[in-house]
Amino acid sequence: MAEVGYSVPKVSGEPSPDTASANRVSVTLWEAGQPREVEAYEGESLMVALKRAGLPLLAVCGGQGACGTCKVAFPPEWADRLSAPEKRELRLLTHLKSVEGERLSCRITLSAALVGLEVDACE
Amino acid sequence: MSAVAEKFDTVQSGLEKVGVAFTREKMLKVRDVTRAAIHEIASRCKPGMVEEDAVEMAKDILAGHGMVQGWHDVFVRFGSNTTKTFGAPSDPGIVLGQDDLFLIDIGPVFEKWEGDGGDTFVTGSNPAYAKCAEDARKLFHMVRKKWEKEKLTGKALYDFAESEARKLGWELNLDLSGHRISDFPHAAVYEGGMNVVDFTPSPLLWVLEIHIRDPKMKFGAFFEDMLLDDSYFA
Repeated sequence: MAEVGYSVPKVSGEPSPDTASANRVSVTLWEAGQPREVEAYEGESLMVALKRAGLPLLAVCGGQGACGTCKVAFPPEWADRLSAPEKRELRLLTHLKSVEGERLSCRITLSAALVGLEVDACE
Repeated sequence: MSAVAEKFDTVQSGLEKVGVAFTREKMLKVRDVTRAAIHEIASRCKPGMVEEDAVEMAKDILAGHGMVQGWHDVFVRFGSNTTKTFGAPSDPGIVLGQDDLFLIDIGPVFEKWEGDGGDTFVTGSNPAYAKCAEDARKLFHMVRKKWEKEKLTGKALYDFAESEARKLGWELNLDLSGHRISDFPHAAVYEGGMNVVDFTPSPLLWVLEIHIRDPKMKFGAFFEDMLLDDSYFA
């Protein structure tokens, strides 16, 4: 996001998937009522896949679950199938006045169990 | 103004933009609560504690002061983990010793404003640890005073820091080389380092970071605070 010609690599805890060998996970992103498939792989966070797909998540903390700027929403049938949020995520979601079904996308690790995942971009 | 000066002025204006919530008073307030939190966390780090527990304790303290959100993660690093660079995972299970050192690096969001600060503490009387912690603070102030008196560019400040660190017997980690701070999130404006900017950084808008390490990479120390003049460091 450096606008004026300077660039310093951002440190992120997110590993880059080896897209040649990693298994694809089918993920559908809903934006303004319109669905689209996004490229996603087992072992990476949903945040990484959504950013790769061009969703403008700020993800300021680089996927550490600290900033809350990668929040997305899940339909009830998917919200129930995700692993429960840990203490810090829960505290942050409460602080951000999140509603049911909203989660931090950096805290969702994609796996075979999430094939077919549907996710809504938050406002 | 010459064409070159005008170009740099435009670059500086771009990199030093602030959001609508930015005020001097709020930035100083968030600086105060950040520094207070660092010292509260430090006071509760005791020998025998495991680093992971200290990180959780630090998050609880910050949350207790309304700083649930952070623009970066919370770092409390014990012993050999003090050499780790920003964002790098710590080696697990490190226990704070009776004669040890530890560093704290937090970036809490207080209401709508970003804090960022760090410091290093010792638990015993090891002179090398005490010197390292003290030299991180000393170097911070040497660089800050250089900025205040000579109005050096961000790049020149870190060239100076690197050279002075070496004279003191340490290696400066340039992965931690200062950055913008603002109303949250400053990253919407600029997320690069201070050590690459070709202008004199303005007060209140930047933090200066000093992370020095023992050349044998056994331990390190960190100090970070807002870039401000002497009157703020009484």
